[in-house]
Amino acid sequence: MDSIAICSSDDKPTAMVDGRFGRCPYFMVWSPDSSEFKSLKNNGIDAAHGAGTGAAQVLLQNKVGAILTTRIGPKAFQVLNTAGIKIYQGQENISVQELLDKYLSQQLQELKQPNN
Amino acid sequence: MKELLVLSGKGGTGKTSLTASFVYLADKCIACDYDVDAPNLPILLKPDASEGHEFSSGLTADLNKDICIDCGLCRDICRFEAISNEYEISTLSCEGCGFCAEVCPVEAIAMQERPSGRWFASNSGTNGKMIPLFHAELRPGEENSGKLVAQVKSAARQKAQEEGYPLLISDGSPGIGCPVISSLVETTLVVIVTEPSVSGYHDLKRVQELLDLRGVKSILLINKADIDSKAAENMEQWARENGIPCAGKLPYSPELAAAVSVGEVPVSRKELHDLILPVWQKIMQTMEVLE
Amino acid sequence: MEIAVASGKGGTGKTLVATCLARVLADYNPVLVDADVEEPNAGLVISHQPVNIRPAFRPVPSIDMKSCTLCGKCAELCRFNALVVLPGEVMVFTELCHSCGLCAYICPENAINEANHKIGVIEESALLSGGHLITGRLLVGEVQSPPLIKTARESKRQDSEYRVVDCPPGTTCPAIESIRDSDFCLLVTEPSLFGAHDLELSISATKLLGVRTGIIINRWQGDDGDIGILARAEDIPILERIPYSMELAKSYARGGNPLDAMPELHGILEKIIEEVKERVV
Repeated sequence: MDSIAICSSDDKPTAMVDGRFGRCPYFMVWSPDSSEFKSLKNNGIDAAHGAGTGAAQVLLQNKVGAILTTRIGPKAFQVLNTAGIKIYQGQENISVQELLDKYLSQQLQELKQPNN
Repeated sequence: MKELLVLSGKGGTGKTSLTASFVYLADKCIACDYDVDAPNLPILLKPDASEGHEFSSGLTADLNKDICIDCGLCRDICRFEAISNEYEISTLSCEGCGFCAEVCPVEAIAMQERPSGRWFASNSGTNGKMIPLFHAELRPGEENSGKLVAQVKSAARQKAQEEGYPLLISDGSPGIGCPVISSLVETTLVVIVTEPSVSGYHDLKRVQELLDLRGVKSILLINKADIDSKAAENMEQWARENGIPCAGKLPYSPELAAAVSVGEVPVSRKELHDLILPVWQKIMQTMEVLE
Repeated sequence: MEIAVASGKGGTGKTLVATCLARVLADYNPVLVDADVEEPNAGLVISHQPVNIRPAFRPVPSIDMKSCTLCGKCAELCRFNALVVLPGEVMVFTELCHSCGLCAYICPENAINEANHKIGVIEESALLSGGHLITGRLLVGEVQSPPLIKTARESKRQDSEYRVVDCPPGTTCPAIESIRDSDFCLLVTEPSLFGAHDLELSISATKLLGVRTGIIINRWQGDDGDIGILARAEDIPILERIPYSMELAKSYARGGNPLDAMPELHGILEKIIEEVKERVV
C-alpha cells in the first residue's frame, strides 16, 4: 500500500486539516509500512502562481499513492489523476489523524472531478 | 454557504453602489471587495479600524553590482526588458521568472520576495448590523491581483464557515482577465450589472461568454435603463434568448449619484430602497434554488 | 507623440476622451490604440472601415518527448509552476506560463521548444475621420493581457506623429503596460468619492513610471471638490473639465459622436492637445 498525504494546517498529526490542496501549509504523509507520519512543507503556499501544480509536483516526487483533501482545483487534479494518484474527499474541522482513521475505515469517497 | 458576485465587464455601471445596497439589504452576510486595483466598497461601508495583513506576490530580481562582471547575459535573456544598460532592475517590468539569476555566471542576482499589497479584515456597522468586510489594496504598479483576490476570498470564506454566515456578497473587478477569473472560484451566482450602451452590451456579452466557459450561473441587472430604453429592451430580449434571468431594470438616478457622492449606501435612502428592494428579492429567489 | 488616456476607476470616460482626441487630431493621421484588451470599446463609438484581423501569440513551452529524459529541471526552475514532470510525461499549463523562456534555455537535452499560443487578435482599420484604429482583443478565458497590450502598442509605430492609447482601468500590470514610456498620461476622472480615491492610486502609478501626467475631470458640475485638493497636493495639473450632460450620455450610449452632442467639446479637446504639447516639448 502506498503512503497517504493529508492537507494539514501544521506539521503534526494532531493538527487540524486544512481545506485547500495547493495552499495548505503542510502535507502530513502517512506510511502504512511504518504507521508513522512525516511532514512535508508545502512551498506552494507562498507561490504567486500555480500553487496547485507546485504542490502536486512535490507529492509526485515523494511517491504518494493517495491524497485526502477537501478542495482541489482542476490543474492539480489533472496532474494527480494522470499520475494515477487517488484523491479522496476529505473533511474539515477534524484533525489529520481523525481524517486518516476515516480513510482507513473506508468512510471517504473517491473524488472523480475537481471541486475548486 | 453561498456567494453572490457582482460583475459588469465595463467599469462605471454601478457595481459598487449596488453591491453595498445588497449588503445593506441582506439578512446576514459577509462583504468582499475583489477590485484590488481600485477598492471602493469600503468607501460606502465605512469599516472600523482594519486588521491589515501584508501580502507578497512572487519574486523580484535583486542585482548586486559589487559582484556583477558586466557580461550582459542577464540583459540579453530577459524578455521583459527589466534590466537597464547600467544593470538597474525595474521592479515594474520584472516578472520574477528568475531567468537572470539562473544564468548569471557569478551569482550576482538573487530573487527576493516582493511585497505587493495588503489585505484587510474589518467590520462595518451598516443598517444596524455588524457586517464583516474583507478587502485589499494592491500597490500601484504591482501584478497578479488574482492571487490577492484568492487570498481575500479564502479569508472571507473561512470566517463565514467558522461563524456560520450563509452568504458572501462580493464586488468584482471590471474586465474579464486574471482578477475576474480568480473571483469566480466557488461563486454561486453572478449578478451582471450593465447599462444600455453599445459598450455596456458588448462587455456584457464577453462577461457572459467567460461565465459560460467556467460554468457559472448569472442574472442580469440593467442599470440606467432609461438612457436608452430600446437598447435596454434588446438586452432583456438577449438575456431571455440565452436563458439568463433578469433581476430588473433601474432608471438613471440623480438621487443615487447624490447618495454615493457623500459616501452613503444608496438604499439607506427611502426612494432608492423602494427602487432596489424588488431587484434584490428577485436575485435572492434565483439564488435560493442554486447549490 | 504618444498620449495614454487612463483612469483608476472604470467608466469615467477614457474611451470618450481617447476617441474624441483621435477625431480632433484627424488632420494629422493619428493612430488610436485600444489597449483595453479585456473589454475593447473604442471601435464601438468611432466609425471605421472593415477590419484587418491578425492573431497575436505568446511563446509557451512545447516538450519533445523523444529527447526528454524526465529529469525535472524545468519544473524545478519554473517560478510559475507551469510545468509538472510525471513518471511518463511532462504536463505544460499554458495558463500559468509567463513566456519567460527559462525552461527552453536550461533544458539539458534541448527537449523544450517554444510554440506559439494564441492570446487574442489585433484588429487594424482606417478611421473614417482620418487615421487608424488598432484594437487588441483578448480571447475570452485567457488570463494574461500584458503581452497582447504590448503587441497592440507596437503596431503601426512609425505611421503617425500622434498616437492615442485608450488604456484599461486600474493601476496594476495591464494599466502599467499600456501607460509605460508614453509621452504623456491623461487621467480621466469624475467628481465623486470613488473618482478621487482611484485617481490618487493612478497618480502614484504614473509617478512610479515617470510619465508626465494631467487630469481631466469628466461630468464636471461646477466644483472640483476632492479632486482639486488632490491635484494641488500631488502637484498634478487639472488640464480641462468636461461638463456633465445627460444629452451627451444618452447620445454616447447609442454610439453617437460626442462632438455632435456637445459642440463645445471640440474646443476643450483642442485645448487638451495644446496643454499636452506644451508640457511634452
